[in-house]
Amino acid sequence: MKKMSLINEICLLASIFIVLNVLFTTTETSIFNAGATGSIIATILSAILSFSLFITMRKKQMGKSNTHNWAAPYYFMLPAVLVLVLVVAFPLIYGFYLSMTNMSLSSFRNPQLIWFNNYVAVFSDPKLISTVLRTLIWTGINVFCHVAIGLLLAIQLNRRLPGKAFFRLLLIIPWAIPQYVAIATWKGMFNESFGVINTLLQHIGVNPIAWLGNPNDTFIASILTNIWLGFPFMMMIALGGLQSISRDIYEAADIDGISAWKKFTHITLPLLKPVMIPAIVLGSVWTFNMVNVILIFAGSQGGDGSQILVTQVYRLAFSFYRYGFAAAYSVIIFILLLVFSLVVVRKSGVLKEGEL
Amino acid sequence: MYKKQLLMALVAAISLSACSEKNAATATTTDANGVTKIVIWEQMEPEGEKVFKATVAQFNQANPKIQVDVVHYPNEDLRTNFQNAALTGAGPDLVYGPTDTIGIFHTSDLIQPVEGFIDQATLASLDQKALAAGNVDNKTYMLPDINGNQIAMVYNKKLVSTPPTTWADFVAVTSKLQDPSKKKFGFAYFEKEPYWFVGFYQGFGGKLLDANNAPTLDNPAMVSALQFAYDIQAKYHLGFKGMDYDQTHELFKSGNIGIILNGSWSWQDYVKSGINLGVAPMAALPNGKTPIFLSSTKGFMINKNDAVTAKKAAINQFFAFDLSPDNNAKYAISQSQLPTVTAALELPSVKNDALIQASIKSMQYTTPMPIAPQLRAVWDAIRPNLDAVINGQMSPADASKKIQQDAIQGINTIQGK
Repeated sequence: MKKMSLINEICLLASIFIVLNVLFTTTETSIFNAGATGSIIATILSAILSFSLFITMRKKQMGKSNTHNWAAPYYFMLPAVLVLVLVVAFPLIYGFYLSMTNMSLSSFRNPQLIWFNNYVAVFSDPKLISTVLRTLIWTGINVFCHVAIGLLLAIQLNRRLPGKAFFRLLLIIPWAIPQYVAIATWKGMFNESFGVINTLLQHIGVNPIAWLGNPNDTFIASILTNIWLGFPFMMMIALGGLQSISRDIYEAADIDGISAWKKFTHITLPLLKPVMIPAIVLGSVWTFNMVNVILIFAGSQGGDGSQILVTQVYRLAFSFYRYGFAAAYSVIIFILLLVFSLVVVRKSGVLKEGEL
Repeated sequence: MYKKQLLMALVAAISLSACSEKNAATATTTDANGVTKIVIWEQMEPEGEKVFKATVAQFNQANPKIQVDVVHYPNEDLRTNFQNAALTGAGPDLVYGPTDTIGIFHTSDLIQPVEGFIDQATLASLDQKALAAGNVDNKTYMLPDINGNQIAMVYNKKLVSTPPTTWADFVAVTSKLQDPSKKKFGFAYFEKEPYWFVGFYQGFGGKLLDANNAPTLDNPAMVSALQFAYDIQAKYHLGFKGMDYDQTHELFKSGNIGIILNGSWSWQDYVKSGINLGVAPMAALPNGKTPIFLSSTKGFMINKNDAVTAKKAAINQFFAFDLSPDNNAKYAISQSQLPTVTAALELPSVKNDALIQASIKSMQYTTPMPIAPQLRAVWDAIRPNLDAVINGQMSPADASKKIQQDAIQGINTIQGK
């Protein structure tokens, strides 16, 4: 038998998995049009059958002498794989399918396949460019501030500092408080008449700002809130990275008379790169998809002026009932973020072996 | 060489067709003990939910072969969850909510008409106007149990002894109470929410939708209403910047606001907070006309799934109990809204309830909420532009045009145009 590479085997099995599920679309238990139980059974069965095919193919590839113990890790992985299939693969496939239908209020029970019409509609949407720009500004400012503030605080916490444990605990609070509670509290703080932000501004002679009264100010308030929510994560990642840098390197730099700034740019930053780049990619993806802050500040029925891509998707799906159209938007967001992550990770080379 | 696995896959695919949803739908609607289960999803206010659950408990005790289960969801979640559940063939048997959800559920083909399902005797016992509020395409999709949900002028009798009826009186009475430095305000309301604003718009002679459910929002009435909304703070110096629901509600409860505009769902909460409450129709606008707010009925909608139809007898038995005059009156009193059972309106408990009688008076100045799904686009269009006018960032004339444009765009989005 002609040997197949592992990638080709996985692609073949993914295709078999999808074909098995598509087969079910011709029966009453189609995963695309069936009860939850039928869908789950269909997905699990497809995954198990595909997986057992994979084991058999691998056995054949590796030859008879090597059959008895190597399969054990795969079987241990099987439960996790099944969960991933159910909570990742199935929603992805279903979302992609939904994006090619006209599912909306008037075609809710029996949506028709309209293939890529929704994608054409997305790219013809006059609000797309402004929403994308707003999303890029939102992500860029937030991630920059998360990293800058997080790194600055991590550097301070990495020093000999009295009460360090207390400060570290204090700085983790934004992360520890349930997000909804924190955002609702910030919304109250931005209240035009009674909010503490305007009270403080008035004390320093600045007129109160209608933070929630117009899209631009609401957007700024959302950014400030999200910066507060997000810096602890970057701070902890940076702190972990800083603690793994040997002090000998800094001591050698001190002996050579290197300035603090040069130590930071030539020692700290390069050695933090393998840790920070994945964190920045994660942070960018999370910030890009951050629904909570803008949803709570502007509401799901707020105007377009403060919406980012994901909140726009939410509005399209749950205010305008355009499920297929919203799914197309979601797929495009997924592809954008996937490409971004792959490009950044590849260009930075952080996942190459022996980088350090 | 993989024939065995591929054969297993085909057998699985074919055999799974035997466990189809069709089979599930024809399964029995009673459990092993012969008990029929009825599931109701509701979004009732806390007081009403308490009363309703007590009624359900009594029914369950008296009817051991029928078990009614009640699940509470917040309003928006109820709508989304019901749509998702009904799509998969599951979901509750009955959904409780206001009439504006009928348009969404009916268009999605998720609910069935009450005619042909609910017993004629039960339908005949209801106020026919309230029943007709749930009509779409000449069929009724809701079994109402309360009628109202309207905004009215709610005043603290300790601060306002006589409710004003003219705008000049209103300004005179509320200005005396306005002292922002002490966080005391003569008048406040949820200024940026269209459900409140529409009372002014209709008072100035405007209509939301025409007979074809197209928006009619760019007109002198809209300009006047937007100007009025702006003038409340800018010209008459009433209220405070950024008035939202929670703030105004809590400030009124703590006795810091003289007059508030709020819905009948909130009145019991004020009474419980110890406010000596008065309710009256809102004072006339500067044009001399009384604001016309929206009213709606709330009630039960029936899931269209086949399994629900099989429970018709049990569901009718439940409604015969729940919509008895006494039970309907009890629930309506807890919500300060009108009962929909005609006989309940004559009960002493209803006739002697001051809030219900006040509700009846304020209902004279309401119009029924349109059921059309297009209304969502209208709210979405009004909200940000009303916000811009109140903040002085847009003129009423420009906002009026923009509201109409945004509403049309929103309706086109809903319809996929």
